[in-house]
Amino acid sequence: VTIEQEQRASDLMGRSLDGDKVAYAELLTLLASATSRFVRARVGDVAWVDDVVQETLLSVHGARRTFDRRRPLAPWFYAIASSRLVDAIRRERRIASRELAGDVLFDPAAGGSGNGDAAEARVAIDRDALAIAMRSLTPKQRTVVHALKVRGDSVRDVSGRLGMSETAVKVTAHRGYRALRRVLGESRRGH
Amino acid sequence: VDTESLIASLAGRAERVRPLPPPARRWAVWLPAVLALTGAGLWVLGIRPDLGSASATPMFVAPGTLALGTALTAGAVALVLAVPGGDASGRGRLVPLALLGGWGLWLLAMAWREPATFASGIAWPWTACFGKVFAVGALPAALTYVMVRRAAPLDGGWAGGTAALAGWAMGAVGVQFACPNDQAAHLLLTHFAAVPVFALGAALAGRRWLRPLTAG
Repeated sequence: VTIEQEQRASDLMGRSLDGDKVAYAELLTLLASATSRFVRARVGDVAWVDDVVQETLLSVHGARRTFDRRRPLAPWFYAIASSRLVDAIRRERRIASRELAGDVLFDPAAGGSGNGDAAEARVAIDRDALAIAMRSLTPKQRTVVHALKVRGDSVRDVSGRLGMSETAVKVTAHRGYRALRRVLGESRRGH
Repeated sequence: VDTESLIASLAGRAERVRPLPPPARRWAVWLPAVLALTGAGLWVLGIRPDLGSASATPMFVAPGTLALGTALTAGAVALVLAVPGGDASGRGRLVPLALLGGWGLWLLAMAWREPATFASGIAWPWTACFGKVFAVGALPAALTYVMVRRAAPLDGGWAGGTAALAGWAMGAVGVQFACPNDQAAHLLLTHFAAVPVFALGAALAGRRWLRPLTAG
C-alpha cells in the first residue's frame, strides 16, 4: 500500500464513519479490489476469491466502530482480510475432505462387484437424487441450502450476503429442506 | 449476490458510527470495574482474620503480585485482541502467559520444598477454594468477555481465553484475601489451578461464541 493509497482510504473511512454513503461505497470498492489482489497473491486465482472479498467487506462493515482514526487503515484492514482468508482456506479444506471427486464415483457402465462397488453405487445414486431434488427448489431456496449445507456458511453470513433477515434465511432453508425431503422420499419410493 | 450489489447494500446502510474508545481507554474503564466486582465477591466471602500479619509474608505477596500481574496484563491483551490488527506481532499475548507460568512455577517450587503439605492443602474445606475462585472471578470474567465481544475479535479463542484469564486471575487475587491458608501446595492446587482450567474452557467457548465477525 502506498502512502497516497493509505491516505485516500483513511480519508474515505473517516467520512464513512461520519455517515457519508458515497465515501463508504468508494471505500468498499477500493477494499474489494485490495482484498482480491491480497487473496490472489497468496492462494492464486481460486474459484472462491469473491467469497473472501464479500466476507471481508461484511467483516469490515461489522468492525467499523473499532477503527481508530488516528491509526493507519492498512494494518486494521489486512488483519480482517487475512483472517477471512484463513477461514476460507479452512472451509475449503473441510469441504474437500467431505466431497468425493467425480472420477472416483461409481460408473454404472463399468459394472463391478463386491460391497465397495455397491456402496459407491449408492453414493452415486444419492448424489444424483440430491442433484435432481435440488433442481426442484426455488432459486432462493437452492442458494440458501447450498450456502448453509455445502459451503458451511452461518445463517448470519448468508443473511448479510443475500440481504435477507436471519429469520427469512432460516424459514427459506426450512422450506427447502422440507421440499428436499419430499422429493427424495418420492425418489426412494420410485426406486 | 455479486460484490457490487453487496457494496451498494452495505453503503446504503451506512450511518454515523460511534467509535469504540481505544483499548487503553477501555482498560482504564475496565480496571476499576473488575476491582469493584472482585471487592464485592470478597465482601461476600469475608476477609481473612489474619490479613494484617499475613499480607507482609512472601507467601502472600509473591503469588498475589503474580496473579494481579496476570489479571491486569490479560485484561489489556484481551481488549487489544478485540480490535483487528491490535496485536499484529502476536507477542503481546505472551506477557500474561509468562506471568501465569511464573506464578505456577513459583508455587510449584515452594510446594516442592514441603511435599507433606500436598495432601492437607487440598483436603476439605480447602478444596472449596477452587469453587471460590470461580465464584469471585465469574463476574470480572463475564465483564471482560462482554467488553471484548462489543468490539470485533478476529481470534475468538485467544480473545476469550485472555478475557477469562483476566477475570479468574482477579478472582484468585480476591480469594487470597479471604482464605487464611497460605501453604504453597494449597495455593497451587486450588487458587492457581482454577485459573488456567477456567481460562482454557473460556478459550474453547470463545472459539465458538466470541467471533461476531466470522462465518463460523
